[in-house]
Order: sequence, then C-alpha cells, then structure tokens
Amino acid sequence: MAKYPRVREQHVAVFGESGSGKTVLVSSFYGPTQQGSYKNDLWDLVADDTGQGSRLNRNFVGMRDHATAPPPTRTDSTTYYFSVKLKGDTATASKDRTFDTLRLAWHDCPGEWFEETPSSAAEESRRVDTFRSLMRSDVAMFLVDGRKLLEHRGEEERYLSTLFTNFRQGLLRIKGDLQADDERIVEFPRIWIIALSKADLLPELDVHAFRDMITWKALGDVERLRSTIAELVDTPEALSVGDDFLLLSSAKFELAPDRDNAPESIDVTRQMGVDLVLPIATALPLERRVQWTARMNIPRKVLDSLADGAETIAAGLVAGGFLTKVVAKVPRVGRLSTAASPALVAAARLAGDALKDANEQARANRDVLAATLTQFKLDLERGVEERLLLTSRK
Amino acid sequence: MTSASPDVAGLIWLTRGKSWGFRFILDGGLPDPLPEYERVFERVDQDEPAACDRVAGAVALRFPDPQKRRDASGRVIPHDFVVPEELGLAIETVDVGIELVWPLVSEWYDRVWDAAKPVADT
Repeated sequence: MAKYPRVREQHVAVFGESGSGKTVLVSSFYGPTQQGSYKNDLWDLVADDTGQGSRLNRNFVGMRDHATAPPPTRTDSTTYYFSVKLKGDTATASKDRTFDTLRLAWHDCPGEWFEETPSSAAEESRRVDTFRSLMRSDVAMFLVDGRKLLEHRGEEERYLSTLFTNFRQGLLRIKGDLQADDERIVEFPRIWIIALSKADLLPELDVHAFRDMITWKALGDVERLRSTIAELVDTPEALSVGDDFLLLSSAKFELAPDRDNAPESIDVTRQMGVDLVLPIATALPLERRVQWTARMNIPRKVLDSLADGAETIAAGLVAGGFLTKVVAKVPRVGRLSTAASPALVAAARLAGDALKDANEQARANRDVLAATLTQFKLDLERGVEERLLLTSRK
Repeated sequence: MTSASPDVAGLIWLTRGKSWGFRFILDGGLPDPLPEYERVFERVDQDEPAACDRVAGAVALRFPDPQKRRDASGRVIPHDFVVPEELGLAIETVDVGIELVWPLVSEWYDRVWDAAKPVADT
C-alpha cells in the first residue's frame, strides 16, 4: 500500500553576498502566504519546521508593519523546508496522483561565503558541508545586488567582477573537498540563474536589459564561473550558467540616505518575481532536462540525477488523462525516446494555448496536482511575458 | 586583532563591518572559537538584537553597535561576545556588559568598521 502523503522534493540554492537580500527574499516568499487575505484555490504553503515558519513570518511582519529588515545571518546556513499541500478532495483524487505534497527545500547560504576566507577552521569545514548539502539542488540562484549596481552606476563591471571572482574563488577553495578522488561530481546544480535582487531600485531595467548589462560588463567573469563549475561536474555540457536571468524584488524599500540607508518604509505588496521561485524550482528543470536530452547524449547516471524529480512531476501533470492526445503525439524514436518518457516530453513541451486548456481542464476536473503544475508552467510563461524571466533556449 | 589591541585575553568577539562580513575578530585564545561561541550562545535566539545569558564558564553578550553604525544594507551592526567567567562575573545585564566590554575594543572598531577589510585580514 502506498504511503500517504507521497512527497516530491525540489531543492533550490540561493547564493548572494551579505546584504544582497537572501533572507528578505525567503521571508517575502513565505510571509504573504500566511496572511488572512491570501487566496490560493489550489494549495497551501506550510513551513515544515514551525520555528522556521514563525521566524520568517516575524521577519515579514517586521518589514510590513515596522519597516525593519530581517537581522543579518551570522555563521550558519539555513535550509528552509516548505510544503505545497494540495487542496481538494484527497479521498477520491489522490488515488491517481503521483504525489500529494510538493516540498521545496530552500538553501539560504551565508553571504560571507562569498566575501572572505573563513575566520575559523570549523567555519571552513562547515562551508564544505553546506555546499555538499546543496549539491542536490537542481537550480541555483546567483544574486546580483541591485543596490550595489546602483552604487557603481557607469562602472558596474567593478562590482560584478568582484562578485563573480569571489564566488569562483570560494568554489576553487573547496573544490578538493567536494570531489572525492578527483572524480567529477554527478549530482550538482545544473541551472545557475543570474538574478537581480532589489530590482525595484533599477526600474529602467527589464530582464533583457539586465542580461545585456551582464553580457556587456561581465561576460568574461560569467564564462570563468561557468568553466570552474564545468570542471567540477560530470557531463559539463548539461550545464546552464548565465543562460537564465530573473528580476527579483521582495518589497519596495524606501531608504534614508542620511541614516546609512536604514529603511524608512517597506511596502511588502510591491513584489517582483518572488512568486516565480516555486515554478522555477519545479518546472524549469523538467523543461531543461528535455532540452538537453534532445541535444546530446547524457550518460544514464547523470540523467538520473539531473532534474531527478522531472519524471514524477511530468507523470503528475499528465495523470489526469486529458493530455493523452499530446502524449500520443510524442515521437517514439530518436534520442529523446530513450532518455525521457513520452509523459515528460509532453509535459515539458506543453505551452501556449494547449497549456492554458490543460490548466482549465485540470481545474474543472479538480485534478489539483495537474492544475498546480500547469499553473506553474503558466506562471513561467507570464514571467517571460512580463520581462521578469529569461530562460535559455539551449 | 592587531598588536595595538587592548588586553582582551579570553574574549571571543564575532562581528561585522560596514562592508566586511561576520568574522571572529577575537578568538579567546582558542584554536577555533566557533564551537565555544555556539555552546555559549545556544540559548540565544539568533534574531534577538540584545542578550545577556550566563552559561557554565561564560556569558553570552550581544548588543547593537553603541553608535548605531550600520552595514552597507542599512542594518545596525550587532556585536556578539563570549565573555569568560573571570571577566564576566559582574555582567548581569546587557548595559553592564556594554560598560565593561565595549571600552576594551571600541577604539579598534572605530578604525576598522568602514575599512574594506578588518585589519586582521591585511
């Protein structure tokens, strides 16, 4: 007998310098979903650890009601576990589901990791452990601090070069500890999204302009980071570093320059891109896996670890039966047919009007899992349309 | 901390600067201060801006920067101290802790808080 609830876990790792907005981001992701005014007909978001949830909610309330930013993180990393609990009549609907709960593990790494060598040996070894733990992530978000870009207006390359170089050097420092016997790592984040945090400070930048700025000012730095990561991993062709871009703003901060930029007010209703994190963690790896397998031969062991939830998620998406025709159209020959199930290919390729239809049908049938997953894909499409998200076509 | 530092033997001090991140400025004479820091601060909520907690052999003392100096993101800088028992016997409150401990390190911090890196790094 199947165990209930069945859980599918996705991991996302967020890297950014101290003060780049990581804790604000995770607080703004969770806090609004806990307010009485929040409405979502498909799922509830729950923090698995009550203490963590309370802390994030307190951070959110502190921002909303007291213009207080969350306190800085000291020496430790934190992994937050959130469960997306599907609503609906589970007694009848759960039978066909491949999973009932989608869990998001959000790895929040200390900013110091970027900036300096550790001031203690135990801290050094903790950094290695931290990095090991987040190697399960399919997606990593690399934060570029909007305020630092603003402070370096006209010479953004100075900030960007330091940012990328510090992180790359941090990786190089622990490379030996990550690779057992110099063997390349099979399971490692394969999608590295460059995300602009505090994007509200740069209203003239849409995601295309942000991508162009990175390309113009920091192409060499991004390429060096890509090369460093490529040296670490098995099958480095299956790697997106700096091919995906995202704009993020957790809230609108009004700052007081005469008080060292202390916030005067924080409008938590003005967010940008925060609601895309869950769809990115869930649906983007699925799509990327199909893109890559169509383009190259990927060894089985890498395939199994690459977006390892993709098949389950795809199965959940098509389980309702209304995608039978789409699945039937997937070619049964060629590289894709051996590397991905028809369900996965169909799920990944579902787009546009067909995606909207699938979402409507799933909602009408109260197939909450398929409705949620198609909604995530719709959210990604919306993010692209609103020029908040730019995804790789490679 | 540099040779010009005041006598701070036995103190562990974790803090950050305007643009440099959290690090142990004083190590209490230990090869690695992190385990002792975590032992003493175990009962202190990481989000509490101020704390004074006596544990076996030491006091966990935290207070916001007395001059309200902020990091580059606008957050008031916190100072965390592990004060050894012989120095911390009189520390029953945060205010008393500030009175006793801050004079030992404040001049040094004045010099480095907005430097690119703490002097210990250069």
